[in-house]
Amino acid sequence: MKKDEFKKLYNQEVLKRNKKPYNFDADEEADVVIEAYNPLCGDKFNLYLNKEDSDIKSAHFHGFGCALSKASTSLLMELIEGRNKTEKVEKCHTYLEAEDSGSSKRLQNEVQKVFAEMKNFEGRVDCVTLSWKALYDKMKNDED
Amino acid sequence: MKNIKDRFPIFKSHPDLIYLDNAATTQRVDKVDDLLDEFNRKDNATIHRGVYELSAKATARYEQVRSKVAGFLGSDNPNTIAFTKGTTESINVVAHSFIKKRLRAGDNIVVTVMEHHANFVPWQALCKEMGCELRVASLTPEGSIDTLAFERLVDKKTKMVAITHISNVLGTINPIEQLIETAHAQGAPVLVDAAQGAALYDLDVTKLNYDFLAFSAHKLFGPFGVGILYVNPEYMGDMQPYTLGGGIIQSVSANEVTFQSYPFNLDAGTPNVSGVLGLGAAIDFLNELNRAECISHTHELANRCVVELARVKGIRILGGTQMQRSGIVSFALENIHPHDVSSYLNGDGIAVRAGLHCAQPLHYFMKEPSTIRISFSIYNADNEIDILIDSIKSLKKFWEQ
Repeated sequence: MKKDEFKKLYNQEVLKRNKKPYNFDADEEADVVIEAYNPLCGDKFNLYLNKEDSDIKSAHFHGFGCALSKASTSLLMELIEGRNKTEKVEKCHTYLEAEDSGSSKRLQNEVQKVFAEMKNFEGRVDCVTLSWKALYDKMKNDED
Repeated sequence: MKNIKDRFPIFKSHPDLIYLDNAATTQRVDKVDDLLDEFNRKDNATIHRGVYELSAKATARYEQVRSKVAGFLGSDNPNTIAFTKGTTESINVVAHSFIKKRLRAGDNIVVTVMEHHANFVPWQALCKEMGCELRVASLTPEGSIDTLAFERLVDKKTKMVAITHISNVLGTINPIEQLIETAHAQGAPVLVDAAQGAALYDLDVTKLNYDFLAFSAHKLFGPFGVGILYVNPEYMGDMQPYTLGGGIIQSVSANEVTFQSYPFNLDAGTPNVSGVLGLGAAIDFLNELNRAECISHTHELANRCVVELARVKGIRILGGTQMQRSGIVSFALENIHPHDVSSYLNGDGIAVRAGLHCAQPLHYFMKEPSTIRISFSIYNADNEIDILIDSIKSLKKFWEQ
């Protein structure tokens, strides 16, 4: 990756969320705790979700990871608060699909579109999908 | 180290590459590339099978490398050397083909917390399977083995001591002579993981008196996929086959099988003939070098790198200034994850390693979730440190904007 590509990847949306991540604290009392872990690089976040009926009342996270995984998890927390389970599954699915295909057409959130562009940076897609995949897998497993 | 870089073709393809990931793999020297190319084009045949000229020639050359490796380690017995896929396989062979049948519940195996997973996990798994205790020697805050604590761990129930010569993260050069003496005083055999040191350091078995030693060719300017295991003649008779199949058989009937003796009982299947010959060429290259001068060169680079890094605000260097350091320096940068650092340095043509370097127990011990590793070799130069430091400073500026 050349320097200009690096600066494109580590754009303002990433740097801003890396520096001041949304709800970045360990909520030990949370109803659900989901671990997002990549054993290849050691990035590990715990996602702490509090429910009210089927809605997510609050979403916090804490742990250690690169700027991309941290910013992407921060965005996930912002987007799922107040959502119900079906909406969450749909949101994760659309995002993961966008990362997979490289097409951000179905994404409605502009910041999410910025993250979906990271598909084009070799070797870093796992960073931006880490927590999304963990949440999606957990929800899918709960359904089964 | 003048002109040494010219011997490495990779730098012709990438003239601006600053390659600082030599602890992961070294670049391949021209002599090895030339030999592999020539073998593949003109001499390709497998060994110990055919009586035709090509096969006979390949067999003779393959066996010559065995002698060459033995000589490289100061042994006059070529049959002390077995060829494997690499350091990891060599260690697994010792765990399963030698020590397993000697273990009884209540015995113990001693390792250190600075081991690479390759010299940690096989012992840990074996201990769990056999009801034995894995004893893990601790380090001083400096990053050296706590030799007094190590002495207390080794006792009459210790059936194996497995230690690294050089830490692949801290760069610590361990006092293996002293540790081997401690182990032998209790009757325990010693395996030395020489992956990081075999290229440049003198590992003469007549001086160090180890029982098992393992290294990989690709860390000494040779090819991937081949390594060696040295076994002390005292234990050669105890070495059992590791993988079963053709090439290791004495005789086989419908009901019975007998095997050849070590080292030929480890050659099941068709061996990596070209890889072994490539290893031989790499050792020829090492024998051309003034290795003491090479060691001074890499130590000087690492020491200067430590000094320069320490001047950058927010950098934590693993290991102290008092420990004996090889050409490896690992560090963490406050508020910037190692992968982000590595990606940025890549933009300036600098290749470094980021992560846990297959040494999670050490990272837990040092309370670092992840680090950046710089590892120097003979073709690195002083000005590369300047470029590295400038790049780190420029990253900090970009990050703090």
